[in-house]
Amino acid sequence: MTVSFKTRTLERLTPWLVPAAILLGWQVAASTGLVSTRFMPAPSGVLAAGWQAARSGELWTNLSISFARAAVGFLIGGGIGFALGLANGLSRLSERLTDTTLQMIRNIPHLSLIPLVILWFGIDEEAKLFLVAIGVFFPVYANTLHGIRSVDPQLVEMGRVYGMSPVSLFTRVVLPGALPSIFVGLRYALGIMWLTLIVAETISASSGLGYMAMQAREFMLVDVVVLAIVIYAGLGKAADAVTRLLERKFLAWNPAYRNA
Amino acid sequence: MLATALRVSEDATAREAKPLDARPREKPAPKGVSTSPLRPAPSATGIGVTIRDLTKAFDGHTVIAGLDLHIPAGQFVAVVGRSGCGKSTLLRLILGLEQPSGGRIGLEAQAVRTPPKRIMFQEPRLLPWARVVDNVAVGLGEDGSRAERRTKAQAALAEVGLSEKAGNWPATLSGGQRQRVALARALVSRPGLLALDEPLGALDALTRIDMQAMIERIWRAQGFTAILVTHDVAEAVAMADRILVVEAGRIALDVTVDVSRPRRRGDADLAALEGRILDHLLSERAPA
Repeated sequence: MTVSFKTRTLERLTPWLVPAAILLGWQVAASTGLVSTRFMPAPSGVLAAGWQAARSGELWTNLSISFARAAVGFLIGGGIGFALGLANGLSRLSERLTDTTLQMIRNIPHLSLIPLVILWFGIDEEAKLFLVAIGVFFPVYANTLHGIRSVDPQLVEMGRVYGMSPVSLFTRVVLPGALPSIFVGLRYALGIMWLTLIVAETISASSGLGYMAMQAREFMLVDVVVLAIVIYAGLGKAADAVTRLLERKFLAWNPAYRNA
Repeated sequence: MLATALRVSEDATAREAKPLDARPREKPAPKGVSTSPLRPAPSATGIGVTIRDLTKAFDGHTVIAGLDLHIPAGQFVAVVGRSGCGKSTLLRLILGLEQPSGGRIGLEAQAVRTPPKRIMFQEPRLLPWARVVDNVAVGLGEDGSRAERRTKAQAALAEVGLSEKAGNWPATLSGGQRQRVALARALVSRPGLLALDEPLGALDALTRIDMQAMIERIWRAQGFTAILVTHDVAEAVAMADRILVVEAGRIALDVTVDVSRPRRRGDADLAALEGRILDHLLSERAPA
C-alpha cells in the first residue's frame, strides 16, 4: 500500500524534475554572476517582480483581461467552428456549399490579418477577439468534421436497425464517436488561442499580459518580461490540464485514454 | 464461460433416448407450409414470413431472382450458400433493410402488437462509449423509463450469463463476451424474429459451440422465429429445423432436419446430412 503510494507520488513528480532542475541551474547561474541579471534575472528576481505586480493589482487586472479575451474569442470561434463542423459532417449539401471556401481561408495564416484587423478595428477589443476567434475556428472545425466523418458506419447502421430516432442516433452514436477527434481539435485550439492573443496584445493593446510585457521592455524591466513568459507557460499547462481532465471524464470508455 | 460449458454438458446428458429420425427432404422450395414435426405447437410469439416471387437487383445485377419461401412462426431456419449467392441480401430484405425490386414479403404475427424484428451482425457492433448494460438497453429503443430499461437489460444479461459485466466498458470484454452482449441486446425486446447474419463467424471453435447452445436454448424458451445465415454447414445442421441452400438468388435445396433436440455433436445422422448439403454446394460450380 505504502509502496504503491510512494511509487505513485514519484510518478507524479517525475514530469516536474526537468523544470525544477532548469530553475535551480538558472538561479545558481544568476546568483554566481555567470549570467548578467540585466539580460536574465534570477528566478528569485522574477518571483519578486511577480509579488510586486500582484500586490499592486496590476498583474490581476492584466491577467483577467487577457483571460476574458481568450475565453470570449475561444467561445465565438470554437462555437462557430463546432457548429459548421457538425453541419458539414452531417449534411452533404452544407459541406458542398461551404467547405471549399473554408479550405481557402484556412490556408491564410491568421496572424497575417493583423494589419487589416488594426485598420478595421483599431486596437479595440474587437481586434483581439476577431483574431482569437479566427485562430481557434479552424482546428475545431476541421477536427469536428473529421470526427463525424470517421464514426463507424456499422454502428450507425446498427442504431438505425434498432430504431433510433435521428436525434438519439446523433446523441448516442455520432457525437460520442466523434468526441476523441473533437478533443484533439480542442487542444490545438487552446494552444493557438494563447499564441494569437499574446501576439495581438504585444502588437496592439493598452492592457493585458502581452501589453504588460511590452511596457516592461520599454522600461528595461527584464524581470517583468520574464514573469510574463513564465505566466504564459503556466496558462498553457493549465489549459492542457483542463483538457486532459475532460478527456478522462468523457473518453473513459476508450482504452487509449483510461490511463493517460 | 465455465457456466455455459457446464450447462451444455447437462443438456447433453439429459438428452432423450428417442430413436433419431433423419429424413431430409430434398425438393425445390414449396409454396406450401413445411413445419418441423418436432415443434408441434405453432409459436404464438414468433413472426411468420411469406415471400412471393421476390427479386432484388443492384445496378442491374440480379441478386435475388424470383424467390418463393414460407417460414412458419417459430421455426429455426438456416440459410447456407456460397459467398455472393444472395443469402445476406435475402436476410436484409426480410428485415426491411433493403427494398425489394419486385415481389412481396409478408410478415404475420399472432400477437395483437407485432413483436419487433432484430438482427445480430457478424461483428458485435456495441457502442464503445456505453456500459454493457446500456448497450443491451439500446435494444429497447426509447420505451419506458431509463430505470425500467436497465432492469430489463439486466435480465437479458443474466440470460446470456453476463450479469456481473453489466457495468463494464465493452473494450474490457473478450470477443465471445461481446457477441453475447450483442445477443442480449437483440433479445431484450422479446423479438418475434431474430436474424443472425453469421454472428459466430469470428469466434474460436469452443466459444462457437457454447454460443450455438446458448442461442438454441434461448430460442427454445422464447419461441421467436430464427433465421441464421451461415457459411458453416455443420453449424446449420446442429442448430436449425430446416436448411435452405441458396444458389444464384434462388432456393436450390430445402431440407428439414428431423433430429430431436438437444442434438449431440458428431451425431451420425447430422454428419450424413451435413455431407449431403456440402456435396450439393460443392457440385454447384461443377461444369454442366
